[in-house]
Amino acid sequence: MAFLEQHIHDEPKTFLSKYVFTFDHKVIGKQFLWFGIFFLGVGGIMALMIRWALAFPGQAFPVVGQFMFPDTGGVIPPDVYAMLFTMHGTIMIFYAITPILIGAFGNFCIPLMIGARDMIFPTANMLSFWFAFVSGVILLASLFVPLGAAAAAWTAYPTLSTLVGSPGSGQTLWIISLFILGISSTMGAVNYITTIITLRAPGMGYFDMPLTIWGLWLTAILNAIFVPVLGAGLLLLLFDRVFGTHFFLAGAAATSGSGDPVLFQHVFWIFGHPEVYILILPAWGMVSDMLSFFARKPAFGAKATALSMTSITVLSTLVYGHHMYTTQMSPLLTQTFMTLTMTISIPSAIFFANWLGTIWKGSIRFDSPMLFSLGVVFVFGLGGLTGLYLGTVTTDLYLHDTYFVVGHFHYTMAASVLLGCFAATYFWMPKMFGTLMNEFWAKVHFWITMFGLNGVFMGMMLVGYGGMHRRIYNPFVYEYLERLIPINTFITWSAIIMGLAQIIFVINFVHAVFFKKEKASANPWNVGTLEWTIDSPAPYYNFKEIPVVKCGPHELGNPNLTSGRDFQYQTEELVKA
Amino acid sequence: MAFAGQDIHPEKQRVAAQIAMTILLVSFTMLFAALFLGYVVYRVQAESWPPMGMPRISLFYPMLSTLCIVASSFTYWRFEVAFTNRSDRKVMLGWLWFTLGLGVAFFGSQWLVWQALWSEGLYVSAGVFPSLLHAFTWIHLAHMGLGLCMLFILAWLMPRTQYSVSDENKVVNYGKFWHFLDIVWIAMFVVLFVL
Repeated sequence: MAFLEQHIHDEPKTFLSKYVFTFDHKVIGKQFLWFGIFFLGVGGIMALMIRWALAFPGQAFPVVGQFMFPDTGGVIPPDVYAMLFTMHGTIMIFYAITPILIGAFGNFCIPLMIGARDMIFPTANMLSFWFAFVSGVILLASLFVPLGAAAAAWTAYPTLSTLVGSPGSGQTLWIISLFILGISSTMGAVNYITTIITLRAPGMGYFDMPLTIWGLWLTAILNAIFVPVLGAGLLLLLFDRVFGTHFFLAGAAATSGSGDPVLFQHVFWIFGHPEVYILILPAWGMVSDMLSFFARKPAFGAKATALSMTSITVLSTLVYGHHMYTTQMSPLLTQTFMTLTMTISIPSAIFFANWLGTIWKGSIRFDSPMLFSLGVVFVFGLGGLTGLYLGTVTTDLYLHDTYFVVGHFHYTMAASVLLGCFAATYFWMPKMFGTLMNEFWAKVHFWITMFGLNGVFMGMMLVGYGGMHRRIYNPFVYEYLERLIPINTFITWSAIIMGLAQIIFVINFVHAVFFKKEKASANPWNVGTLEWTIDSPAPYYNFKEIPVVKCGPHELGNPNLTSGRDFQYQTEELVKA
Repeated sequence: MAFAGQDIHPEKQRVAAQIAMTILLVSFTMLFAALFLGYVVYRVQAESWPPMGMPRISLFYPMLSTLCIVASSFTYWRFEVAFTNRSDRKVMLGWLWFTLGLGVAFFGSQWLVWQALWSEGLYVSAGVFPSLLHAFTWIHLAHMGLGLCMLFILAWLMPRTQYSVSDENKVVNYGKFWHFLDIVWIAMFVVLFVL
């Protein structure tokens, strides 16, 4: 039952109150979307620079290289290379994917899909964006400080990330910006969880929520619990750097007794493993919904999908040790973590089978959101399966810190989440901005991206299996890796093509937002969830009358329907024979 | 916190605010739990505790801090009771200001704790043991600062004669945060100074 119905306030009039310091969840969602897309571009360019260094070692970076690295004649120097992969990881995880999936679509979809007028704490919601914004500014500023940005990888393991390994202020700013972003995430998470518990429309039980909401809800729960753990680790690391504490110092640097660098790894991964589920759960939810919407069938085993996502959420908190098999962990412990990790396959297999069950014998419409969703199914399947090799201790000892790991987590965290972001953008575009994106160019974008990213990440797994280590500047100084240069060149060309394909997306997106005359109808995809019962774009304060929910979100293709539609809205009584 | 809909469904607003506060306290608990986890790791690995050559400090100042913060929890509780009963405004405001005073006194006593540490040579950079003492008290005190801000907000709101649902929620939930910090301090006192 809905707990409370929110007032309809007057629409803000000034530019500042409408677009900048806004309380409206839809505008905050759009702010997060632009923020995320901007950082996606920055992180993407960094990725291309990394790839350039690996495919053409010792060659000047084209066009801008001469200006950026005049000392080396345009060649990316080793320290910059380390900064690039550090900032690429940080930006993509915390400043691109998190804002887009959780910030933008979390904010936009939650109230609309549960039939509420806004988030329950609009002020906290606004602060959440502005904290993220400040954090993003600090992170970008850290690129320009003396000695450069953080270069201890996104995991920031000490002692590399202490003053010994990273003397400049870049690493300190990195810690501060991540801490501020953590505050923003926690605020958002408290808001999301409370909103979903208290503001669901009358009649909407938990299993009547779209699976998108399930994914976002579970993500918020993980965020609220585990982001503070990272916060604690970051604070101690900050104290080590700024105040001279001894938590993570070791060896010659620890002048008065040794700290414990591995402790940071534990704390980091206690947060870090749930973090990967924080990123992927919203995408899973959205894909589960979209497969059903575009196969014109009810989601197969929707309840089981929701419950298996929940059990993955619980299990994800117990497996972090599989990131640390090579830290001289007791074999007793590694085996425990291995077993727990393998247990995650069970719920994963359940909802994966449910995805296939959903599209089985459906009358599939290959609109762009569906293409991207099917892409997620494919790449997540590949990413998940390769995870088994890394979760197993014996194989992981060989594969640890190779490009196989890079390929694996890019398939799960980058490829599937990125495709999920695109699917969501194409899908909710009419509700967000009132226009549809060009379908032809969306499909072109999909196919180039799909081939591009498979070329990149499959290639990474190959070179990783061949023994190429990650994070090494010019690995080809080692003789046994010299023969991997052609594959690396192939990966880089795939990456460049994939990167260029994103220009199609940006043009398509900007055109649809600002220039397209043709307005979308209220329900262009013919689906029945609550956000499609109102106008496109969604009006201020969403629902004039709070809707009453009478059936589930996936009532499509019911043979008893007589209305001439093949779906029914959640506000309609379930049609029975 | 400001709600989108003020003063409709007061009971439901109360529940929502409590849910949010509970989640927030879970978050804060995880922050401090992670710190204590770190403490346990250092403690278990050390051959002796405090490590060789490091003195313990006298329990006097930490006790003083404990006294301040426990007393402030008590006075907050009295304030809350007086607020709920709307009995005597003077008494109610008295308890609130008393709480604020004790909160400020806690800050002072922490300064004395640090001075006691310094006088024993337990500087921040002198090793893991003093690092723990200093860093944990800093982090706790930063949260106390947040708590004091909340108390000041209440001190600013309370002189009114009419209270909104949102004001009532503030009294209840700020109180929870304040008591939470009390509990965290007691755990820190026992773990860092007594054991």
